[in-house]
Amino acid sequence: MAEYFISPSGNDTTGNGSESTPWLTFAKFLSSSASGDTCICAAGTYTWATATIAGRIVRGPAVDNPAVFDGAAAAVKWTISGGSTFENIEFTNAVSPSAQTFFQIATSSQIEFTSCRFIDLVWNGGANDGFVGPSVAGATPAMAVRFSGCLFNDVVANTGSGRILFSQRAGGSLNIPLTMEFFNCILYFGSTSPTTFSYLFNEHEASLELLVIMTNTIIANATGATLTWMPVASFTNTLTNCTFHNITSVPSGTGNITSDPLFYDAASGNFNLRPTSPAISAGTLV
Amino acid sequence: MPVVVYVPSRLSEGHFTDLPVPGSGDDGKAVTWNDGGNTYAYTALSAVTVDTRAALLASTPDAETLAFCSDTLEMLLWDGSAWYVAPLELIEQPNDVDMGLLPPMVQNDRAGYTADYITDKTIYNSAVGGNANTDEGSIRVSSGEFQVHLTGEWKTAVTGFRFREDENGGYELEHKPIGFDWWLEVASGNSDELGLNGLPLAQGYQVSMGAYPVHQQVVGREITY
Repeated sequence: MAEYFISPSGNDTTGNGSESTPWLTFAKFLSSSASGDTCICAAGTYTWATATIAGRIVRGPAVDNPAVFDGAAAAVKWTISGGSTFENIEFTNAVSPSAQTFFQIATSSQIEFTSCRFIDLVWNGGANDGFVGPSVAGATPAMAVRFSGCLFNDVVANTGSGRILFSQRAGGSLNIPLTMEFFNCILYFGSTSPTTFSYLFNEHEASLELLVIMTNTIIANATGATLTWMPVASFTNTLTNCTFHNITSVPSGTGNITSDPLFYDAASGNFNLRPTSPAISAGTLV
Repeated sequence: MPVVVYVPSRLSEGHFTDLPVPGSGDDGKAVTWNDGGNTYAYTALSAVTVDTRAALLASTPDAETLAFCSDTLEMLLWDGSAWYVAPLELIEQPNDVDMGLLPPMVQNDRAGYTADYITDKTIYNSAVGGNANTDEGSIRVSSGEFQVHLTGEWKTAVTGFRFREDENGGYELEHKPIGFDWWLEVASGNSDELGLNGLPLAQGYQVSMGAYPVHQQVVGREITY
């Protein structure tokens, strides 16, 4: 359970991963660490590249000062397994590989994103793929992905069929149970270029293997295009004290509203709530 | 006085020699014999001694002496250095035996177990479950709460509190309500979990939707969004 440090001013050759002489790249941390180790990222921007991450903890400096992982408009996919946690990280400026996800979750994995931002990402998947989805290989252990206090802004789809943001599978014929939890998140859809998503969730096997738990979360669609909760009404949803603005066919829940959340200036990336927002004090303790 | 000697069958070819003539002080001594080449001896427990419990505990008989307490109906064993008591008490059996396995145990304070209580024991690897007993001091776990029955009602023991060091090096008392994930600072009702703008997601026990909580408390004279 070692702790290592990376910094935009670090050096992969002369550094040793300590706080005083950190490495430069996240790739160096991955190749030099083991499952259960932690990467402390100093403030700044890092290269976001395709990688396999097994049981790592990655932490940026602060909730309002995240470490930025920039994909440089290239294709990026992280294959994640084990109990991996990402905290105070901004993922930005990337596309997913053709017909693949940004974050491919392996079986038996518990992945958690806390106070992370997903900004300016173009999903390039196929009919069955999602922004986050399970591995195409493996047996059937359950997986769970949890988003706490995260922001999705300007995440758009490339032209293609399906266009599902969160999918129970990433291709193939899998029946893998997947639990997706969202607490105090914002999913904002404002851009239509290249195109918009059609659905938020999907379970392809139609056998109640996707469980969505959503609390205190705002999903707002400002694209003018239709954004539907799911193509089939077969999986389980537990939706509590959420805002679903311009979302079609949202399942019933408790304490949910459909009004405009009244962000201060969403187009400029300011998602604070205006004083008259119906979302203020409309949440519940978690 | 005639001397009666029991000869085991497997020793039928042997013979006893030098049998002493019993005399005063010979009670409990070993019997020895010789088969013509080797000398053997029987050793056995000393005779069962019967006396009061106090008298037995004050005595120092030969090693491996069994004793029976005439006043408490306990069985005792002297190993040569100390008395040991069996964790059982003899119970009078009626002529017509009740159905069932065994009569209930009654008082045996040295063992620490009785039909009514356990005393002087340390419990390991055990759990408290439900409890229909509502005597004063009864304990149970119910709906995720640890409870004690006091003054006629079940009262929940205080759990889910901790002290946490704050940014100034001081300590603040926090509470995690049962069934919830967040720790809340008791005085302010603020959560440890922060929104993306750095404000607590819960403030004054109030929660807003989204990742950008609003100021629920005025700080200084400036309110920002």
